Amino acid sequence: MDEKIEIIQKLSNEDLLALHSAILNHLKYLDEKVITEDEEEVKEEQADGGEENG
Amino acid sequence: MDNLSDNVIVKEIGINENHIENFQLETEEGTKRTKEKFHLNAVNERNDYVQRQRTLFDQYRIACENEMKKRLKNLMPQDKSSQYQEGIKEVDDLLYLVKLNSNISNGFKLGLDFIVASIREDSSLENINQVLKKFIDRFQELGITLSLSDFSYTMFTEQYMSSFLRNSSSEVMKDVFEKIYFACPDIKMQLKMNLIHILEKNKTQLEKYVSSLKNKLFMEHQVNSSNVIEKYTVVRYQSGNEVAIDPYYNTILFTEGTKKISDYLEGSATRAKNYNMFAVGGDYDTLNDEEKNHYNSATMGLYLTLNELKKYYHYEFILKDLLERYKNKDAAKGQYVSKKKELEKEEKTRVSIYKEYQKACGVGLFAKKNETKMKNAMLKMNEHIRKLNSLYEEYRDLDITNKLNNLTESASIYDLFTIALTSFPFLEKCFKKEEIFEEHSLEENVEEYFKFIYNPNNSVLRKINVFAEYDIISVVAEKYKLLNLVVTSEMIDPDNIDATMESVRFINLIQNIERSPISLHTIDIMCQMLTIIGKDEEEKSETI
Repeated sequence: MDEKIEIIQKLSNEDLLALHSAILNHLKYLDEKVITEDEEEVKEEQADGGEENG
Repeated sequence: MDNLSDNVIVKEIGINENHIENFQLETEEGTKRTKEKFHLNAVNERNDYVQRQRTLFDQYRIACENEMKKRLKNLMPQDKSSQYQEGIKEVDDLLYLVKLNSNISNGFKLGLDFIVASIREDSSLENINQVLKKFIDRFQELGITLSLSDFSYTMFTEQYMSSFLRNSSSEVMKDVFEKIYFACPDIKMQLKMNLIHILEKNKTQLEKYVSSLKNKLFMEHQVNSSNVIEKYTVVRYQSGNEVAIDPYYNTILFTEGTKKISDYLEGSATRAKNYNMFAVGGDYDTLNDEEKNHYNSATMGLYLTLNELKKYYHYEFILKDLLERYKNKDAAKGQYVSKKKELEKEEKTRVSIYKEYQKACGVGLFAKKNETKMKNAMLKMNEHIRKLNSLYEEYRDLDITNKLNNLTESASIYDLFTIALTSFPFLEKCFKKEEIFEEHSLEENVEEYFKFIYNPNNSVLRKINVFAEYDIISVVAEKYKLLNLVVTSEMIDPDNIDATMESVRFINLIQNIERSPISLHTIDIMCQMLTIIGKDEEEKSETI
């Protein structure tokens, strides 16, 4: 982490703002990528329905 | 932002997303149960990975925001308000010296006229007593101790002041007032006239005081009668300029949300609209560098001129009043002299009525108390004071008209505005008559007027002859046409001047920032950082 802090400290103001924005976007992306139990259940139901229809 | 693609954290983002997108969540091999088990394990494994990355990137986020906080502290210019205080005080001190040096009355210079003017027909008894105390205290400060004999303008003022000077309680003063009021309903007016009489009586002493105060302060500030205005205008201009380009003041306009930085950046529609407004051809960007320089210097002057014009509109009624009076100035000369003589005569009559009263009271050698004569003298005095009051009104009115005889034919608008300063009663009447001045005290209004007269940036009105058939709006519009700016008469008439000034103020702010050590770009960076940190702080407080 110290190494990363050092990198952050060396950034220009514009790059610091851009990096912060990229990190926020990535955090949003990561939040979306967590697979919850609810999502799994919906998936299973869809799969079951498909099999039945088939 | 050119190096950011090589940034380790940005690279990590790419690696992460690639890893997550290609994470194998399903298998084709094995039974349904095996497939389900594989999927469950893979989901858990990927969720763990995502969670770890979330924690890690949140740390990066915090590190970035901590760095922003640090930078914001370094970027924020120093607040130099305390340093400016000295300059502001110097400006105020010099303005006071300009006042002492001008040809306004000594009562005006020493603040005594304002005290007297605060006695009004609708003043409460408490107010009247406060004014009397203030007046006596102010005289004491000037080295003059007032006693009961100074308040014997009429038998009623003497009676009232006799209790007042004994430091009677407010209850006692109320009783005294009520008792006098039935015999003299004009007691407030009589007290006011008594104070004016005291000012007149102590004229020489006040003059001596002002003169020695002026000499002392002139020495302290190293100025003299001939250069004090010049020194004041230089110091005021420097102080004003210092504040106008101060990076701290200009930055907080944006960081505290008074102004929107995006409006001021190059490429903004608002910025273009304001700049194009005064550009020949309607497009500032099409001007070449030389034209742009010319434009910028002309708009800097335009703000000062419009400020001057706006003030002119504000005080135009004074000018109109004086111009109307100017027509009668010749006749006023003789009338003024005879009114003065008449007043002197009537003042003597007042004194004799007072003596009559004293005699009827049994005061003096061989005098015998006579109630009927006392009452007669009181009635006579009331009537006479009303007459005197009207005469004084007429005299003051003639005084200002008569002073217009001192104007030469080449007098400027400013010369006429300055004449108004020489008559406190005239100014008092002007500011009490107009509704727009009601929200401020007479003292504040007169002070503002004084500052307007001695504003170092006033130039147009000093150059225009007051007796010529002038149209000041066209004069200003023509001046800026010559300087290659689009300024029409309509843009600066009383209805539109505020909107036009708003646009010039917009351009001036950009110009002031460009003349200062901070740039709009840096302010923009600061505003962006503050938005981020502000949000962060809000989130923290929500969690708490």
